[in-house]
Amino acid sequence: MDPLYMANSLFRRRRFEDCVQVCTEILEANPYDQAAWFLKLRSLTEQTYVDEVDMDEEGIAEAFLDDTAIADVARPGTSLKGPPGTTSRGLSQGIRPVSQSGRPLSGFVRPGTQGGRPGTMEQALRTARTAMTARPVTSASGRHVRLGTASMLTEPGGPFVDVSKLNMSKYSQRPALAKALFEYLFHHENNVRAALDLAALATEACQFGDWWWKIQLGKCYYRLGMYRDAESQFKSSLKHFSTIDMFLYLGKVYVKLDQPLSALDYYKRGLEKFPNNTSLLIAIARIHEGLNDLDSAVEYYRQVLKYDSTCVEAIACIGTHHFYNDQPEIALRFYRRLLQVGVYNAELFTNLGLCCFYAQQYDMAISCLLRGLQLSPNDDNTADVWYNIGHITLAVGSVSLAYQCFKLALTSNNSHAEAYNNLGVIEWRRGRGEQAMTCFQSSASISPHLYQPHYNLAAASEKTGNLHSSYSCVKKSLEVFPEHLDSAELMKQLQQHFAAL
Amino acid sequence: MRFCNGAATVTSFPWEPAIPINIASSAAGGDVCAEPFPPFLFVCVFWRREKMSARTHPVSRQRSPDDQENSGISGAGAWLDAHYDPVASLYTFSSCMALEDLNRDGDHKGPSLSFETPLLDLPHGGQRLLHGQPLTPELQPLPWQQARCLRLQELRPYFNLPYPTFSKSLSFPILHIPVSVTLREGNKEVPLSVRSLKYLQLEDDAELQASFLATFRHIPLRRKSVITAMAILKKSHTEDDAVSCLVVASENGDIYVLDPEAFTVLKQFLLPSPAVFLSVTGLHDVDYHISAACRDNCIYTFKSGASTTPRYKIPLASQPCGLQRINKDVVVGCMDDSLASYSVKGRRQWSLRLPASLTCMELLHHRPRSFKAVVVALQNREVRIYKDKFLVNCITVDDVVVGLKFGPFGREDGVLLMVTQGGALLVKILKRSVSFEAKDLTPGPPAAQLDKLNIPKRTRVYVEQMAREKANASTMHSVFQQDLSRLRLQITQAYAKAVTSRLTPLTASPDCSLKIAAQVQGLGPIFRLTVTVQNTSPSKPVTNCYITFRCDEGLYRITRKFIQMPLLVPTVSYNFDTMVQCTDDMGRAEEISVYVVQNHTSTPLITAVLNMPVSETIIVT
Repeated sequence: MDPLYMANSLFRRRRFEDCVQVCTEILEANPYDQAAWFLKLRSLTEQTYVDEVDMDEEGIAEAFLDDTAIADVARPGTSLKGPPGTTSRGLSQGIRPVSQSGRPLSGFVRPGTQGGRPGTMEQALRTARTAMTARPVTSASGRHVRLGTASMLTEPGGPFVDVSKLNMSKYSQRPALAKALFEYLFHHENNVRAALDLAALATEACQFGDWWWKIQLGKCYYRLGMYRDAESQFKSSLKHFSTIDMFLYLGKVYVKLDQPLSALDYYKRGLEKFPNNTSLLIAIARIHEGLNDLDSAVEYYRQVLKYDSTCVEAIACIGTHHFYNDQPEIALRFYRRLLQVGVYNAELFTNLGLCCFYAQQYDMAISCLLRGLQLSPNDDNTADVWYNIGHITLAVGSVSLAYQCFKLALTSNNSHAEAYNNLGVIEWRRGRGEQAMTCFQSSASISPHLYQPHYNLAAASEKTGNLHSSYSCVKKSLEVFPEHLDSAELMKQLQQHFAAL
Repeated sequence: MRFCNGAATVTSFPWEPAIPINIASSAAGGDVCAEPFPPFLFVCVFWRREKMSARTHPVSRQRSPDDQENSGISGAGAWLDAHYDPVASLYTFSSCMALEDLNRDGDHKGPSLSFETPLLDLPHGGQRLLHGQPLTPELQPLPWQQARCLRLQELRPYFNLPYPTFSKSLSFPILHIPVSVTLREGNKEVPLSVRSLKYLQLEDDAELQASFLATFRHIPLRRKSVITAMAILKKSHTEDDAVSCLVVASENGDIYVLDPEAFTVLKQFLLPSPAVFLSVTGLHDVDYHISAACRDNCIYTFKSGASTTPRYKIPLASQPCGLQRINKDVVVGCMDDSLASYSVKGRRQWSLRLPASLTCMELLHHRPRSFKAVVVALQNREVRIYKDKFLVNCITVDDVVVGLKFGPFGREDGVLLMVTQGGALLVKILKRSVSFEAKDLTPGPPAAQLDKLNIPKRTRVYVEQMAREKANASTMHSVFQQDLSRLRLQITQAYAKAVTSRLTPLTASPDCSLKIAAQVQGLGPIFRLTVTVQNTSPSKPVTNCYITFRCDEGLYRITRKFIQMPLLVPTVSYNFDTMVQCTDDMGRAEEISVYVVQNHTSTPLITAVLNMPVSETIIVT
C-alpha cells in the first residue's frame, strides 16, 4: 500500500501516533516530501489540539496584576470580579453555599468558578494549590506550558520543526501550508510569538482579506495578554464573515476585560446569526451565573437542554439550582438524567444521595452516599463525601456519628473549613468551649469567605465575655454576609455593651 | 402635680388685657361630699371666630428655616410655634379646656388673658354649649361642678343647674335590723344614701340610732352624686353653631342627656360602673351613639331609643386613659401603655404599644383636609399623632403634657393647645400645606415579613414520590435502617482506623490535645512549609514533642526533617517552618505527611497531610 495513502487513512481514523510514524518513515526516505511533511504537521498538531474557545483558567498573576481593570469598584451587576452586588437575585448565602469568591456554588466546576479573586496574595498562594486544583501562576504558563513541553519531550530525534530556522515569509506566501504550520506552532510548539509572526505575515500576504488569519492573530494576542488588540482583530474578522467561534472568542476577551455586559451583547448578536446555538447559550448562562443572576442562568441552561439534552453542564447546573431552591425531588430527576448520560463519579452519587435524603426517598439515600465514598478518587472528594454524610447523620439525630464524620472529613482534607466549623459547633454543644473556639478559628483562617465560623467565633467569644474579639469577628462576618440577621443582632448587642461602658 | 390653693386667680399672665383666653380658677371649697377625684383647677380656653382678614395675622408666626420641610416624624416641620408661655401657671386637663369665640363678634386680638372668674368649687369639665337660637349672642360655654352645673353668661357665672336629686330606688334600713343584715349579706347591690350608710354604722348603739332617726326622719332621702364626665350632643343640626344638648355622666353610673333649653333630663341611661370618658356621635333628634369608658375596664355603647341599658360592651385589658371616636371606631388608650381601636360592636381593629404611659388624648379633626387622627400625649414628653395605627407625627415638648385641645383658634383652623404638668401653655398651628401620610413607620415586624414566602409549588414528581412512599413505607423504612447500620459500621471502622493510626489533625485524648495545620507557600521549586501546632487543652502544657515529615525522597528535599518543639503552652499557636525543594521537573506533585511525635512512642500523635502544588520549575529553565 502506498505509505502516504496509509498515513492519510490513519490520520482520518485519528490514529495520529501511527500516522506520525508512517510520515517519519516517508520523510526519512525523502525529506522534501511536502505532503508527508504536511500530514505529519497536522497529526502532531491534532495530538495536542485544544479548543481555544473553551474557558481557560486565570492565573494568580493575572488576578493580582490586573492592568485591564477599568474601575476598582465596578457598578453592581457589571463586573464578574469583586463581591457580588447586594441586590443579587440569587439565593442568600444562608441557603446556598458560596465559593471562595463569594459567589454561589455552581453545579459544574470549570476554571474560574472556584478561585475567583483572592483577597490577598497570601490567600492566593495558599488556597488549595494542589495537584488537582492547581492554579497556575499565569495563564501563559500552566496548562499551555505543560502541554507544549510534553510534546517536546516525547520526540526522540529533536524537534520536528526548528522554529528558529523557519523562513516565515516563504511560508506565508503559501496559504495551505501556512495554516497548518501556524497551528503546529501555536498548539504543538506553543511558541506564540513565532505563530504571531507567521500570522502577521500571512494576513499581509492575503491583503488583510482572510478572516481566518485575523482570528488566529486575535488568538495570539489573547494568549499574549494583549486583549484590546485581540478584540480589534476579532471584530475586524467579524466584518468579513461570522462564525460561532468569533462570538465566543469576543466574549472571552470581554470576560478577560471584565466587561460581562459587552460579552453578553456579542453572544446575543451571535444568537441572532446562529439561533439556538448551544455553545452561545451556555456562554450566556455562564455569564449570568457569574453575575449572580441565577434565575436567568437557569433559564438559558433550560434552553440549552431543549436542543442538546445530554449537556452535562446544563443538567448539573439546573439540578443544583433546584436542590438549593427546596425542590430536591426535581434535582433528583436531573441527577438521574446525568447518570443516564454516562456520568459516573463520586460527586454525582453524593448529590444523588443528598437529593434522595431530602426528598424523603430514604431507601436510596445512604447507599448512594456510600457508593460516592467508594468512588471518590482523591482525598478532597472523600472529605466532601464525609462532610455530607455528617449532615445526614445530624439529620438522623446522631450527633456522635456526625462528629466522627466531620473528623473523618478533616482527616482526608486538613483544610476543610466547613467540617472544622461544624465540628466546632458540636464541641460547643458538648461543653468543650476551648476546642470549639480552636475549630472555629481554624475554619475562619482556612476559609475567610465563610460567614459561619466568624459568626460562631463571635457568639462563642461573646458568651465567654471576650467582647472585643467578638466584635472583630462579627464585623468580619458582616463583611462576608451583610444580610445575616444574627450577626447584625449580635453587633447591635455589642455596640450597646460598649456604649454602656 | 402642683395645686394652687389660693382663693382667686391664676396670676402671672404676661399678656395684654384684652385676651380671648379665659382662665378661671377656684380653690377647693369644703363641700360635704368626698369626691373621688383630686381638686382640679379649671381652665376654659375659648375660641374666637375670626371673620375679617384685613388685618395682619394676630397670631405671631415664628417662621423657622425648616418650615418648608416635609412633615417627618420629628414633627417640627408640620407645626408653627404660635405661642409659648412656660409660666402660664395653668393647672388643668383636657376635659376642662374648650375653644369658643366669647364675644361672638369675630374679633381676635391675639392670645392674651381675657377674664377670670372664680368658681365656687373645683370643676370637673368644661364644654362649649350652644342652646336656644343658633348664633345668638348669649350662647355660652358651660362648666359643671361636682354637684352643680354652672353656666357662664356675659363671662360671668350665670346659671347654676342643680344636679338632679333622686329619691327613687334608694332604700333606707329604718324598719328593722335584719333588713340591713340582708342588705349586707345579699349579693345584690342596693344603692344606699350617705345617711343610710351612717345609720348602718351606728348599729351597735341603739340609743344613737334612735336619736339619728329622730333627727333625720322628716328630711327626704337624697343621694348626692358627682359628675364624672361631660360631652356635647348636637340637637338636630350638625353645624358648628347648632344647638346642642349636654350629656353628663355621674358617679352613680347614670348618663343624662339634658334639654338645651330647660335643662331637664331628656334621656337617662344606666351604666354598671361610673363612666370616666364619654364620646358622642350623631344627632339627638335623629340617631346617636354614646360610648362611655367606665371604671370597670369596659366601654359601653348606647344607642338612641327606648332602651336605657348599654347595647354593646367592650372589655378592656386595663383602665382607660382616654377615649376618642373616629368615624365608626372607638380609639381607646389604656393604662397598660396600649392604644387600641374597636368597632362599635367590640371587634378590635388594631392595637399598638406606646413607648411610655399615656397622659391624655385628643381628637385631631382637621376640617380643610378632612383628616382625622388621634393626638396622644405621653409621659416621656412626647405628643404623638396616630392616623389609624400609624404614627404620622411626633412633637417633643419640654414637659409632660397633661391637657390637649385641637380646634380652630384665631384665624387658623387647626391649632393645638397644650398644657403641661408644670403649668406651661403651648399653642402650635398646624401648617396649612401639611398633609400627614399614614405610612407604617412604627418599629415592628418588617414589611418583608408580610410578603408571601416563595415556597415552591408541590410538584408532580413530589406527589408521585409521596405515593411511592405510601405504598412502600415499611420496605423503605427497613432498607433505610439497614443502610443506616451499614453506614454506622463504615463510619466507625473508618474512624477507628483514623484514630488508631493518628491520621486526624486533632487529638482528643485527655492527656494531650493538640491541633496541627500545615500550609505550603511559594511557587516552586522551593516552597516554604509552615506547620502550626496548637495545644488546645485548657491548662495542660505538652512537652517533648517533635515534628517530622514523610515524603517521596526522590521528589522533595526537606531542609529540616526533624524539628524539636519547645514546651507547648495551652491555647498559644506555634509556627515552625522549613524549606522544601522539589527536585522533579516533570510537573509531578505528591503529598507530604507531617507528624507530631512524642518521645518513646512509635505512633505519631497527630498527622497533617499536605497536598503539594505543582512546582513551576519549567518557566525558570
